[in-house]
Amino acid sequence: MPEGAGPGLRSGQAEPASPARVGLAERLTEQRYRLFPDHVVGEILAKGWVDNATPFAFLLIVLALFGSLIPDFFSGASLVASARQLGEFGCVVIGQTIVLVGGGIDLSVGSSFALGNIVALMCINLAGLPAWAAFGCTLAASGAVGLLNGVLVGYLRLRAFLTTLVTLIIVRAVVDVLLLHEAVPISMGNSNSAVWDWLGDATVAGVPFSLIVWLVLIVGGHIILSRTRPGWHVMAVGGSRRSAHNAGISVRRTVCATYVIAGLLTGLSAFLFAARLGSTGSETGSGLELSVLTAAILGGNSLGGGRGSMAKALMGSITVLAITNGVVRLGLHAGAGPLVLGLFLLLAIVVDVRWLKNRHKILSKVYISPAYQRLAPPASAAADAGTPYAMNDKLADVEVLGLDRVDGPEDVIFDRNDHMYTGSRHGDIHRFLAPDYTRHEVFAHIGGFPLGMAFDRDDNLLVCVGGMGLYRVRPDRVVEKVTDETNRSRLSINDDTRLRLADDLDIAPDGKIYFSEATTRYEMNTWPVDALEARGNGRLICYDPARGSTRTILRGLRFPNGICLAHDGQSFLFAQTWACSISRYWIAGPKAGTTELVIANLPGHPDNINRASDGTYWLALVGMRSPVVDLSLRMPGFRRRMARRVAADEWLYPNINIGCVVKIDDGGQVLDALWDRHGRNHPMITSMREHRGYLYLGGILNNRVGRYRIPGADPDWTGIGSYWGARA
Amino acid sequence: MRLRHFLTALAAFGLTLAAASAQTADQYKGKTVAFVPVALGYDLEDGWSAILKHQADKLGYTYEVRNPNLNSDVGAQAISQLITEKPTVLVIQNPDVQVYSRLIKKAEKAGIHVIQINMKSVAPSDYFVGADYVQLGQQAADMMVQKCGAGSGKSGKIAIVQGVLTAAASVLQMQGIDAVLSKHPDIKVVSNQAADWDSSKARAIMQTVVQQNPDLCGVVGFWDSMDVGTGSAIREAGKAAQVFLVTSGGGSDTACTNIDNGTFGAELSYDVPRQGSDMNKDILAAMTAGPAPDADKVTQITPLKVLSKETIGTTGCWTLKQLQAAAG
Amino acid sequence: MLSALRARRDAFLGRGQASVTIPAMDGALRPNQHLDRARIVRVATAPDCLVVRGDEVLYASGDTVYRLRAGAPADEAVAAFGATVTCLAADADGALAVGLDDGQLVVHRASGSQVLHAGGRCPTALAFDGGSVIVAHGSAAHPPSRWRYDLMQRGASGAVWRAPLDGGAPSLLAEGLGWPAGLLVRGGAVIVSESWRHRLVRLDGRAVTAVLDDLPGYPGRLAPDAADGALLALFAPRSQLVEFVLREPAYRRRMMAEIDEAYWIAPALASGRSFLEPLQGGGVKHMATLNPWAPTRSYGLVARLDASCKPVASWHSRAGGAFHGVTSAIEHSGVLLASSAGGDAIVAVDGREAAA
Repeated sequence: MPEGAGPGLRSGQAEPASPARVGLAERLTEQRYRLFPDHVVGEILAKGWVDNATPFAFLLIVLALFGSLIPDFFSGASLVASARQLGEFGCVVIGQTIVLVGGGIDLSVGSSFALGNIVALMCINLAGLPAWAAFGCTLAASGAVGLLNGVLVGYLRLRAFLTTLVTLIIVRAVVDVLLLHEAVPISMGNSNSAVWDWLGDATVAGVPFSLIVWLVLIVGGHIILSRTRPGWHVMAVGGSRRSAHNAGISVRRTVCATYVIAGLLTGLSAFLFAARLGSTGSETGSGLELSVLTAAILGGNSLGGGRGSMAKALMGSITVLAITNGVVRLGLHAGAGPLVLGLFLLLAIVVDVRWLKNRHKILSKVYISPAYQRLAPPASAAADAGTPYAMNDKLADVEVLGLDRVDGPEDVIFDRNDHMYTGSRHGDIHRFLAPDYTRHEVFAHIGGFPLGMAFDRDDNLLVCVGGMGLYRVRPDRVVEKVTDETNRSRLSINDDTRLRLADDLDIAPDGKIYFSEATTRYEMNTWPVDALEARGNGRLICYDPARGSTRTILRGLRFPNGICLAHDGQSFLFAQTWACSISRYWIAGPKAGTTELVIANLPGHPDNINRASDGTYWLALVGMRSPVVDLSLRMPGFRRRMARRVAADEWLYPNINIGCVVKIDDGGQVLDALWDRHGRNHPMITSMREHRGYLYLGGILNNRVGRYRIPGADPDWTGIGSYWGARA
Repeated sequence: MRLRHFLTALAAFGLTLAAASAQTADQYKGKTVAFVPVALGYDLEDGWSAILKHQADKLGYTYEVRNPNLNSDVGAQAISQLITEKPTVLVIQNPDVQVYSRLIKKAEKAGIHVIQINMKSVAPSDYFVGADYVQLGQQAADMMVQKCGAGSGKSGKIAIVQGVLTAAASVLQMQGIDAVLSKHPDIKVVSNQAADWDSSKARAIMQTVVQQNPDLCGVVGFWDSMDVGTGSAIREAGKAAQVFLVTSGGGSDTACTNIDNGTFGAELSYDVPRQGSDMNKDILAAMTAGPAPDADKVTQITPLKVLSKETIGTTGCWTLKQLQAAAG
Repeated sequence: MLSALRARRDAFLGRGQASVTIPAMDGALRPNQHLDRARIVRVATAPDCLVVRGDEVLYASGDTVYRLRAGAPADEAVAAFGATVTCLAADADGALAVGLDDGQLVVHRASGSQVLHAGGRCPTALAFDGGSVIVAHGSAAHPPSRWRYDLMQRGASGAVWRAPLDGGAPSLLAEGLGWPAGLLVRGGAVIVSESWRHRLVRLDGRAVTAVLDDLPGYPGRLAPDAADGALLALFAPRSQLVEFVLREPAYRRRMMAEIDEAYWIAPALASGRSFLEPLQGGGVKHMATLNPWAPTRSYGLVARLDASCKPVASWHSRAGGAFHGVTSAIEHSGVLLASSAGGDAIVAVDGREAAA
């Protein structure tokens, strides 16, 4: 047994590998792979929030840079002075972020801002309106610009870039006309609104009012964008318009709405700006679109849409403001500010593009992280080896059932009426009707990939469904979810609460369901890749129907697969495919809760285990060990480089093109083996089930079920009877 | 001759310095003067800055400039920032009458002496140094009346190119112009637009105006740096002889060159070296005034000089190099 | 210094020399099933060394050279040599040059045998040229049967010699070759297939120039065809995994030390015979069948080259096919004959497919 194969497996394990073969260098390699969990890197990269790492680093660098160049950059008063401006600026960035996430771009924010500013001042200084009315007018003015953009881009499907560029110019012209007529009166006028005067210089508990508004918007925006339907719609539309449309989202309305929101937020910002400075000029808001866009992109929001968050808007806003203010405070030459900002924007775009392009590449290269595993040389299975495994051709003449009517019968099972059930790749449960199994129907559709099956006391069919969890099909064909999550492990980075690859199950006499999850790192269609890692990525889970709870009982198992309740009902036998071992988990008696090794060093990779009529067990070997694979398991670096440099189709695999069925007893003695030597019908066997004197064979990549007459087997024995007794 | 005039100005400037240095230099140590212009890179602001810096270097206090580069929001931010840094004296050139008013009040409340230079805000501060723009407007309008009004035989059509509309320089100059023109119905203002201190904008405006009014007689421009554009549009239209352009500014060598080559008909100049030394005096006064800013408002009006082909020979212009050399 | 650093970087990143790209079978080498559909002429254990002598066809199996008798139940043994025959050539007047796995080079005539001094101990290909025999030695370290060891050690110690038939001292034509495995005398020059470098080279005096590069398989024996072209047998396919293993010295060392040669990650003349052999991802059987484009360690491939050594046609036995490991191919009276060492058969492709 390999080391580190799981906490539950320590007892009774010998180290069968001959120590002479293991050099110091290899011992070091082994320790290195035990101490440094490489897979963490890949799991972190797979996280959504890793996108924020670069902008966050940017932010820290900028703050550190200016903090060291400018003595009191971080002093409290200095921060308050910046914060007021930050609040106003940040509101516009939020709007831009929402537009970007929706797949658009809004260049008109600068003009829209100037319009909002002059409208607010006209309302207050000229019309003498109260502050709330002025606020309404401002929002209406900027919102109208947003609506115009929204209609043009969303409904008339014009290009966002050009359209908003045009609105930028048009609205700016409107502002210029207004300025010509109203600027002097405005600057001469005075407000008589106390609220207005308060707004311009307001702090709440020392925090500028505009900053509070902004932070509230950030939090609210985050909740809306990441937790609510409208936010998801925006994300979906930005990610892929066509898919969003196909999913029934009104793309036009959503796009339009993003521009309106951006307009309203710009209006809000302009209103706060007007209250603070009370001035209007042609330079107001000019170039704002550039710095806002820089902030949004620098924060990590993607220009391509579909990827962005309020946290990114927050980081981007702070970064850009720190840069612009820092440059002014350094007293750099005119033009240095825009220059520095432009360089940062360029950098941000480069990073954005390269990151987007390469993230999945890096991830796919880094995610697979092989571990060290040492397996001792197995007993030979060669035809002339004289071992119980020795290759024969007993399965050459199996009777083939359901050829081409099932695709991927991983497991086979029989009910009390002798009907045969199998799963399929398409998520169906097929039923072949007794007695000749030529008539066939889809018994139920679950979805996912149904794998291991078991009947409970009440004739419900329990199914482990790859990609979904543990399901139950009642005799009246109603499909019910039993469980699809377990408790999260404390130190895992991947969220391992969801069941990714529930594999096989069996039921204890008290009704508790014990099932295996082969791996928590790979999905159903990539399960062989887990072999490349050979890490203990799997676990054994127990579902307690009385309490409705699901708990993980053993972790760190190397692809736990078949599980079978022993004939005495005191323990479960379970197989670990990549560890090539069978273990026993005690659920009753003095050793309850402990695990012991039953068979180590199988010559192949074990899959399902099921009861045999003579008090022993059938065990499927899904594939055979090949020496080059065994060697590669001791050289994780070799496998890691292979995963990165060689195409997936060319990767070295365990030999799952050939396998066999062996018979084992409770003590782990191997009694017999059944082979399909030439692999004509059953190159790979994932499961077998004895029923009334026959053995039925299933294979996850096969399109048939095999039936083999077991010489001398009890012709009346059934699995369901062996578990639950004859029906009363 | 020009040089002699310049040296006289410098001598006056030097006297102030001498008076200042007579006091113990130590009392200026650790004090700070900060300057927030509208933008650097123009003769006016660079000239002021050179003179301010010179005295600071001489007396050992700190001088720093924050350049908003024509963006009043950035300027406001810079002033807010400076208020937290508490310099002894804050020199502000207001881009318009409103935008810094609240900040000026706030700065004075925080115990900072504020000198406003040339362009006033609606909020008064302890010190103001600058031209009387109402008077400047009147003089310019008078020139227009003289050159284009009844009896001149010209069309009487004039154009006005303002700076930023809401800047004190524009607002007050317009007041002066309006006061004169209201008495002279023979003068017709065919265009009154804002070029926002931007010479290319001024040029674009004037190109249109000249096309629309081939018989234009005169133009009042509000700032020489900007009116370089106005003048070049007139010249391109081949109307340099016909259109009389009067502008105003700090009277640097650019002004003299443009008067020389006929781009400007005349420039009403507020003397930058003089303004600089006035500010320096105010700075010293503020620094010695004690902790609380003096309640009395000190206003120093810069007298205007008329620069024209006839006068540049005698009064001359200054160059930034001279100022820096004299300062350095 | 710089190039050493670059090599380290490449090895780390898997770029440049360390990258494992292999050419696709394309153009004239586009996969087909011509070889799989071929007719079995003779079932024999690992047949090899097909040669034409006059109007008869000879081949070797084990230590014996046979005369192929199409239609007859068995072939006639010409001579047995006590060691595995590794290469064979016949000249116009009936003499046979025979290379043996024990390193000997024998000239066999009806009148008797003569052992030639041939310069090396690993004869892999022979050709008569006037009064001498040109002989290729695959390696200086291994006999021909241990070709996989030479490949896995990245051998480059092959040489081509000219041995005069009069027993004079042999002369060296070229050395430092990566397993020369086929010879073709053309004009004054010799075309040599250099297996480990996946190319054909022309030896012209002392000059070595590549004439066909970047082959998708390991080129073996060459034989003249009916026109002025040649037939090239590529005895195994290149694979990304093998190329990768060739760049993994530590793994290769341990594999060679600890594992039986038959189960290495290495090219083979036949595959799928034992469950101990390596399997690659794309080779997993679905619904009990193997994809023809699955990665495979063995393959059957014969290519026809034109006079300038460019491939113009090819015959394939693809993954899972019957006639892998084609070690020699000749054209005889309009029929293409190929010896499939992996398929234990000599097969014939007739008529139009032969011309393909």
